[in-house]
Amino acid sequence: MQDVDIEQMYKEAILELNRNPLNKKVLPYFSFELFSSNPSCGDECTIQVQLDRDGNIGDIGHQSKGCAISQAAISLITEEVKNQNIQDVKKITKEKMLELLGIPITHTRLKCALLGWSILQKFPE
Amino acid sequence: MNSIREQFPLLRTYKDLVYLDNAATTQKPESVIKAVTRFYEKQNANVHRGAYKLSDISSQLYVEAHTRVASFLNAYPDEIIFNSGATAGLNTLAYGLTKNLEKGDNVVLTRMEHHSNLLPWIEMSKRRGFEVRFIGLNPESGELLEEDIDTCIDERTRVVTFVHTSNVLGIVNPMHRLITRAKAMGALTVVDACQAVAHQKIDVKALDCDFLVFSGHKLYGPTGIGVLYGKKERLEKMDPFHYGGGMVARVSDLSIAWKDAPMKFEAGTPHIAGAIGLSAALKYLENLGWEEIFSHTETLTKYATETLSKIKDVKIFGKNAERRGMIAFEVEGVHSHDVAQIFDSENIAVRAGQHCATLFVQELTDNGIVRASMGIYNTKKDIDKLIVGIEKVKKMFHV
Repeated sequence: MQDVDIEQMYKEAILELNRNPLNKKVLPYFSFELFSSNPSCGDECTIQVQLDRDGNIGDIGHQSKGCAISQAAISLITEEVKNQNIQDVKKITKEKMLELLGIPITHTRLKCALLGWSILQKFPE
Repeated sequence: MNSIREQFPLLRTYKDLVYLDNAATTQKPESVIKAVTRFYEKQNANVHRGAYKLSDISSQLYVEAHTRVASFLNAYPDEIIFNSGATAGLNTLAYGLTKNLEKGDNVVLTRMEHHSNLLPWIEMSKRRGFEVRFIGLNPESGELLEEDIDTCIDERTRVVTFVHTSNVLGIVNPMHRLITRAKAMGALTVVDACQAVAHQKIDVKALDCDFLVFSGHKLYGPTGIGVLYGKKERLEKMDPFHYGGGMVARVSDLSIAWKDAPMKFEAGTPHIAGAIGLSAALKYLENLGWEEIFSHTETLTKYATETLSKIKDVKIFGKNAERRGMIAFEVEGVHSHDVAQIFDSENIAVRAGQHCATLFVQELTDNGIVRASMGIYNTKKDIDKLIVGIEKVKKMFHV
């Protein structure tokens, strides 16, 4: 059985994003809103997107609860997509999401790391 | 029971593993693995079909497995149906017992149910129009609300279905109270005994329930084998859920007569090796002694509660309720999955999250629940290791 480097997985940057998540807010006006969850963990996430005149993401907010990995990943992906248009957001691969997170992820934690990313993949173009 | 660990090949392989996820599935003793291997190497043939010697041997072993389970439950062998697990049993019952229900009738569940004893009834209620009612929980103690038992179960209640021992907190429900009320109102009773059977011998006659289900893999048997017990007269009246080979007494173009139970409910080639493995597991547990097993679990549960109570920032759920075989808790401010992940780095295997009981867990916490569930091979040392894990979580998360 392979051990994951736990210190790497829960490095300070991840814990900091868990304590103080980015973009965790309710948008008063938004263009789209989508929800998803990981039913077995109880992780839940709603992402709201406000598009600007050019069709780019002007503002983004999420309301989510879940483990530190999911909270950090949602923070990072919502930060990453700011000012991008939806088509470009949809081109962000799973691998890129994991690269953003930059920590070792075990098979059972993939769904935590990908929750926010998977919601953005479902936004209408 | 210290040498018990040695009888489990997986635990011999991983000497440092602190396996505390027994409520999800238990490890298998050597005797069970050997029984299954022996079957495939020396006894394998289909049952009840061949005239040759091998088929006779496998049929006999399969029948013996029914008998051993019957004796474990204090039932008759023809009241024991083998299936793939408790989920299959509960689906069979939800289908078979609600066939003639209509609008105005109701089925009573509890808020403590595993999804397997929730979703089949909800689905049938959509098709057949009966009402599903829930006996609520006391949010503080985690126990069933006693007053709900009388108000929910009334003269239009047809089935009352409930878990014996909760898979989330380990709380033991007031079986006698539930069954007495159901019987007084003329309702059938279904008991989900998945967690209970790992720790105690069950007597269906003493319980006087109509049906009871459990899965083999939670009491040291193989996966993919489960048991549905039903009182003989109830099984006679119930229609099967699956249709296929081996269940028919007489068939013509227009009419079919079913064989008697259990064959009526065991269409298709059964999981023969699984049944034999389950039988071997029961034999193994009988040799250890059910009283010994029961008191071992009680001791560990009590020890875990006392030990974890002393740790700051740890909240135990259902702390003062009658609980069996597990301790459910949270490290305040830390999500249960993060706790379980850090435990894993100390080779401690526990379950985290919603435990297939979303309704229940969400009422208790947003962080999900960490569940450490004990088996016959666990020791006080394993519980002490939990403390090491919790201290590491607190250190890493600066709790």
